[in-house]
Amino acid sequence: MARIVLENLTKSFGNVKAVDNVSLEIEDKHFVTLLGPSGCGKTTTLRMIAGLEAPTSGRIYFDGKPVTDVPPHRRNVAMVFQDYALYPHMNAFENIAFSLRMRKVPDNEIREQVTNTARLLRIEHLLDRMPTELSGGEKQRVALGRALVRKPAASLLDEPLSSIDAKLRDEMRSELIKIHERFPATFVYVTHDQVEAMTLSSRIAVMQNGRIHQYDTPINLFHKPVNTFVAGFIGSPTMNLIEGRLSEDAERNTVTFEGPDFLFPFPVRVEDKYLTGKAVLGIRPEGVVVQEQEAPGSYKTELYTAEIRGEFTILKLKLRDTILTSRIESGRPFRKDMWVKFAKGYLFDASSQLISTF
Amino acid sequence: MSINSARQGEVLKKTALFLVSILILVFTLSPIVWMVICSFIPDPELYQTPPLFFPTKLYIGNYQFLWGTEAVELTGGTPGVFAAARNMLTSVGNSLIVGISVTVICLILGLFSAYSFARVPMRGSGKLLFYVFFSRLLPQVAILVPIYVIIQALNLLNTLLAIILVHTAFAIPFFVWVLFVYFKSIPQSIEDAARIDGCSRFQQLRKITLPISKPGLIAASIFAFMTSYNEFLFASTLSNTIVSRTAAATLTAVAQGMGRYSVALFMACDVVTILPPLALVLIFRRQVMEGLVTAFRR
Repeated sequence: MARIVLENLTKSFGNVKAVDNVSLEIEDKHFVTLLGPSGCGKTTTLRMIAGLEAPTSGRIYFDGKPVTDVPPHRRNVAMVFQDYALYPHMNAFENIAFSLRMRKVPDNEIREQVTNTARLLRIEHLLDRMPTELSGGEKQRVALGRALVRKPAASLLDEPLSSIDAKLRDEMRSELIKIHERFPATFVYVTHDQVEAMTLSSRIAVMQNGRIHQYDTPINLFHKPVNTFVAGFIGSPTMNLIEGRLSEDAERNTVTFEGPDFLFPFPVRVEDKYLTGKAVLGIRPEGVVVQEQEAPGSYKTELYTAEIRGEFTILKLKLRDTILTSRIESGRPFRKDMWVKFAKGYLFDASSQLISTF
Repeated sequence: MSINSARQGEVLKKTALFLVSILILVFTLSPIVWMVICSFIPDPELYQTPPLFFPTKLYIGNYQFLWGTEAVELTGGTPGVFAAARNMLTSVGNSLIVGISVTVICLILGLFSAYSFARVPMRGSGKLLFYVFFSRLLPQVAILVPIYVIIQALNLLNTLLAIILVHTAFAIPFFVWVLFVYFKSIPQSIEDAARIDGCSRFQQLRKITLPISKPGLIAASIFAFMTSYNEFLFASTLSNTIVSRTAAATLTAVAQGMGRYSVALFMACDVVTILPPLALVLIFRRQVMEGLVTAFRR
């Protein structure tokens, strides 16, 4: 059990800064996810927590104790790798038992702990098998067992579900939630899959280019993204982001967003300093409300494409040259000409930071 | 119909493959078989027409001569040759000492060298690796004289140590290459997992990396051994006294001096010489194949 603190962590490979001044506090027994596109530095951050990679600068603390220079085998962390990394010359039992053997745990205790862990992961019947005789999902469970058997201070998971097929991934995702309940330890999870991140985590750090954009709960990430990157990365289909500028009608004390193809009177007053610059209007697909009739404040659009997904339908609508994504309920009819209203949206400034929401 | 003909084609292909394999086997093995047969025939009977393909009784006089229990009447040899032949067993022993020493040194040095090339990021390690192999591309004769001069200066002429040093230099590039490729084929994450599971770098090497690399290690070791065991030019030049010769050098000395009427004895010397490597390859043939396949797949 450990509270993990990263302080101004930087890792450079030659001239490339893989991780750039990252600070993060991970509470004890929390499930925290590092989320970002590939090459964003999330795996490097995880490897620094594990001790497999030495930071170029910055410090790491476990429960207040500095561990920056402690080698991985003295950190009491466990790790699950993307390719499982089972020891090919040992059977499943020995794979799980290995860390206990390294710590000279007596044989009868090893047997007991491995069997207990295997029971919780439902792999008791696989313990005699060699890694080559296991399926992807089974290997995954053995790898998890290896990480969980010794009650580590923290379990680090590096895209553990990315190399198994979609159906099994869904299963293992809910399994992981259960596992975290049964083994209440600090979990640090790395993924590029926002669904995994949203469903599993108590908090998510969204990363890009080695930096953390936002470290927050899944709900806050969705409803209060700090900038356009987070707004565009979280949520599916992705948020409509329209570049334009802000202008002010001083008499009527209102602010108008001037998009390339339309004007949108922003319903919330923003600070004066934003009033002359560029701005980005963000509307989630469910905030683009489609209507059959023209109504005040609505815009006429033309249907571009329609994707019927079953549980809902995605419409791409052309507002002159701007393409808007809208999400409507399944089975609802749509036609060529429709009107849209913006029900819920975000406003970002020239440097992509969130100004206001409505 | 078409299924039948397809099956016929399959059978034909297999038969052809089988026949070709047999042909290759006959081609490569017949001299060895002939050698073994000849070694069990008394020398005078070797020159009968038609030749004796299958001797009727096992004659072990040639071997007894090597073991020094019976003085076979031999004629036609130059002086000293019989003494050389009598020393065949010592020479095989020398070859084994040299070969095993070379293998052990290769194991110790090559192992760490190959692991460093495979895992430790160093500036210019790729170039360095190239030059390690480059040394094997030079014609050996070209460096014979320089090496002779060096060994002479070191006062090591006519010692086994001289051969061990030179053979190690010859064997280690290939050894490093085979192991380097093998280490590279092990996913980094397995080593990371071991270190997280509580291994220091050295424990991880000992408990995880080396056991996984066992086929590669065995294949590389056997090749190092064979490189040394088969080498003739340097062994015979650097160490050419009757007691310090390796098997390859003694065989040549015997063959050159013996003349016509002791071929059977020479064959017996041959058989004694090929026994140790033959045993090695037979014992470890699975690992040799596996190691080679990994080494050349990349």
